[in-house]
Amino acid sequence: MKKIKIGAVLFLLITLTALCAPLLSPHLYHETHLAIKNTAPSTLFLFGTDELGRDLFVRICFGVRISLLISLAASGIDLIIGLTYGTLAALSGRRIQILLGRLLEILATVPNLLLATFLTILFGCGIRTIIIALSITGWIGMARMVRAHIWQLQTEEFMIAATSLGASRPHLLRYHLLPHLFDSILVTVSLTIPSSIFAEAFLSFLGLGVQAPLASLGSMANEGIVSLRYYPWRFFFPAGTIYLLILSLNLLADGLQERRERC
Amino acid sequence: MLIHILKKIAILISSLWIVITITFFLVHALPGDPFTPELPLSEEVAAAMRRQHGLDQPVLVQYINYLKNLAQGELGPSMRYEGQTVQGIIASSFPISALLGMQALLIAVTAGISLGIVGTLRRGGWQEKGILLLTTLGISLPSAILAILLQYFFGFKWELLPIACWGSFAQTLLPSLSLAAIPTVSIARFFQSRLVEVLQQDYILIARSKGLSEMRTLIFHAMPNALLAVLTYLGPLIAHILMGSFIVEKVYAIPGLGQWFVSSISNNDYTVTMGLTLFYGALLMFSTFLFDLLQYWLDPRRS
Repeated sequence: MKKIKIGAVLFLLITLTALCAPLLSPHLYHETHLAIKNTAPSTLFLFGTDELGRDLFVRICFGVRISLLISLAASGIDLIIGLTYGTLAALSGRRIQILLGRLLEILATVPNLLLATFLTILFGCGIRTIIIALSITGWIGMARMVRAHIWQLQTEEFMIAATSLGASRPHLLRYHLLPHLFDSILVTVSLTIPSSIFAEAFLSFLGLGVQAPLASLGSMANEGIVSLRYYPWRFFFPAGTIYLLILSLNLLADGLQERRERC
Repeated sequence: MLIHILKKIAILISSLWIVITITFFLVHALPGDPFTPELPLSEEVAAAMRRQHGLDQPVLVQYINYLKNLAQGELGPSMRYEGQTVQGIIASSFPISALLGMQALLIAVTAGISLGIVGTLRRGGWQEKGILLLTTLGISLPSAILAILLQYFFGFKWELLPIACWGSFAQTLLPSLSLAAIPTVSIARFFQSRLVEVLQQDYILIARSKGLSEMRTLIFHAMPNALLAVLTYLGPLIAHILMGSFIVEKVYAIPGLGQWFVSSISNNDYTVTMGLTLFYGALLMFSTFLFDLLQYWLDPRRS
């Protein structure tokens, strides 16, 4: 319970700060002041400024919004595809089960970076492309989890009872499987969000991320690496925000899992 | 059993074939080819190069030729780097990534298992709380950020270890640590929760009622069972960690496979991308398979 609380408070704190950025600072995320570039953190610029004199605090707030938007959308897509595929792979006939299972293994081996590059060229750089690139292979984990969990549930007595009473598959799914799956789906989603934040940061690192003047947490941390020796805050603040964001979501996931195991 | 293994191998090979087919058509669908990017080549030279590598033929013919070469164990020459073959690249870079990966794995397994044991032995004590705090904080730290932090503090600020490059043992320490961190905490957590579960079983009660010490019960009776579960986690991890991480290799300027893979994609170096994908796929599938077998052998109850 403690973990859920700490995680939730931390997450809300970051999100609310990100949403209220315009109230907290008079600067805009794309506003440049070349005279004050690379200034250290001060009361005027809470997190300092970058190489174009942009306020890092405001940029990080916008970065949180973009990173969250991308990861929430990607996890949503993962959830829909993964749940459908996982149920199909677990409940269909034996041949189709094997086929779908094999397909999962194959898809997990195709390099996602290749797919991401391909999509970027197809759709151009942008938030939409990143979301597609992250979810094109991201759903595999969800599908695997759903499949394994359904298989495990099928050996339980209540399932055997329901099946032998002649319950149809849709009925089984709606009234017997989904309520049980709900918690583990919640846990998986709260784990996919941090991993998509990280995956987005990786794409930014390779230059496949969002383009300037927009910035995600990943692209800002990436820009910060270059000047780490001279202006360390330009790396530490975005990277620290990524860390805290991932930490808060992991804490939530942990807490949820512990609660599930206790029941 | 032998038939089971042979069947599994046949399935693995056909899976790899599908992976290589998908990858082949994906790389060829990317715009440009190895000779169009920023290279200062005249049109005639580029055309001659394309002809030499068979890129002027229809894609389907190229695909069949590639498979023919593959069947003879040839991964082909690099299209961007004259005189380099894909096999040569793997032979020179894989040992580097693999060495780094092995070190990381060694750290992760020893540290993870010891943390798990200490955490279980000292349940409720400050040791368990400390380990819990460490794993909770550690699991959220991406290896990329950790790599940069370690480099900044140990290499640059405190000047304790070399900042980058490859060659001496000291230079492998920071990158191995960055790679090992997340696997260490995952193994520690996973192992500890399994240990606690195993400790509730009846045969542990018997061991305790025989008067064995807690330490002895834990190490000789509970641990083997809990280790089995860690093996499932290790299978995919090994393939992943041996292939090298692009970011960690980039941060520490290590000439490993991860770098080659990423640069081959941006360079349109078709043969390198496909060869490395195939190599990784084979490594991943075989190590997962081997660990399944190992598990089956150690614990015949699982089918």
